[in-house]
Amino acid sequence: MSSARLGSRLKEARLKAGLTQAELADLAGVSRKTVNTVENGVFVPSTILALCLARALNTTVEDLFWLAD
Amino acid sequence: MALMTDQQARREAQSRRNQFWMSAGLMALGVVIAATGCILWRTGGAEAGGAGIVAGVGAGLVLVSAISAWSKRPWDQRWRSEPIQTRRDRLQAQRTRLLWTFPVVGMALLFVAHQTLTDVHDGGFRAIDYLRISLPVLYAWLVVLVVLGWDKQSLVNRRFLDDELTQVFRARALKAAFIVLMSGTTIALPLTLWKPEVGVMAMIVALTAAGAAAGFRFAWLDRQANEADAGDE
Repeated sequence: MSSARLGSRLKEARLKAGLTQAELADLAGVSRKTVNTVENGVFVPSTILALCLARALNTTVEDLFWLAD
Repeated sequence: MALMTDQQARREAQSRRNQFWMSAGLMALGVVIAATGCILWRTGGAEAGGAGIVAGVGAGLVLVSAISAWSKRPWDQRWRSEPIQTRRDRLQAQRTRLLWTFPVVGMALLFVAHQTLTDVHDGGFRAIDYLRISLPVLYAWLVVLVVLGWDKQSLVNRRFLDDELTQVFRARALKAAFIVLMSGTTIALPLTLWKPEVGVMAMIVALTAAGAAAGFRFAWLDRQANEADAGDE
């Protein structure tokens, strides 16, 4: 479920946008738990979810996630 | 935080009222069944065991429908303007509680099945024994249906209960169940060839354990995700 290869800037981007996890979850159409597990690196999001999160934060997937190695 | 629209709220309220009255009706039916079982039990004789089962089923129906009626009571304040995220969290927590509880009940029913199977092998077969032996397997199916999202609650509330994290949990839970099922039936096969009566019980155990594995694994993953949940920041 988790991957050490995935780097994430989701939390920083969310805070910069002034959103709570619940608000971001609403915008992306997922549960707050999903947003939280992505932020904590417990869950690697699918392409669709990554795109939804990027759209909700008005940014790109590459700005949110990157390959750590 | 987004709220339900008025139309959605009205539809929800009507649905809850219907479910409340349906549960109340089932509770009344359960009382009748339990009372009938108790009367038959007292006057029983040879069929006393079957009457006990009927009374037990009635009592179970009363208990389950009472819980359902209470959880859907229309006068409960928490139904008013429930935010989507709260509703999602509540429904997902409810599902996890079911997935902890149902497998435990299914495993407990294994003892009933084992006892009945012993009676059957001793020559004391009755029609009700089919049900008693099948109960843990039927419960295992119930767990699997909840994990798959094919139960009524999941179908009605799909947008709350079928997000991406759930799909990952589901895949992992079914993987665990499949491993348990394969292992169980692999063990059951030689047991059946050795002693058929032991093989039958091993098959029931394998099916029940597979269902329980699916439920426990799903609930465990959800628990882990909740542990990772540091709260809204």
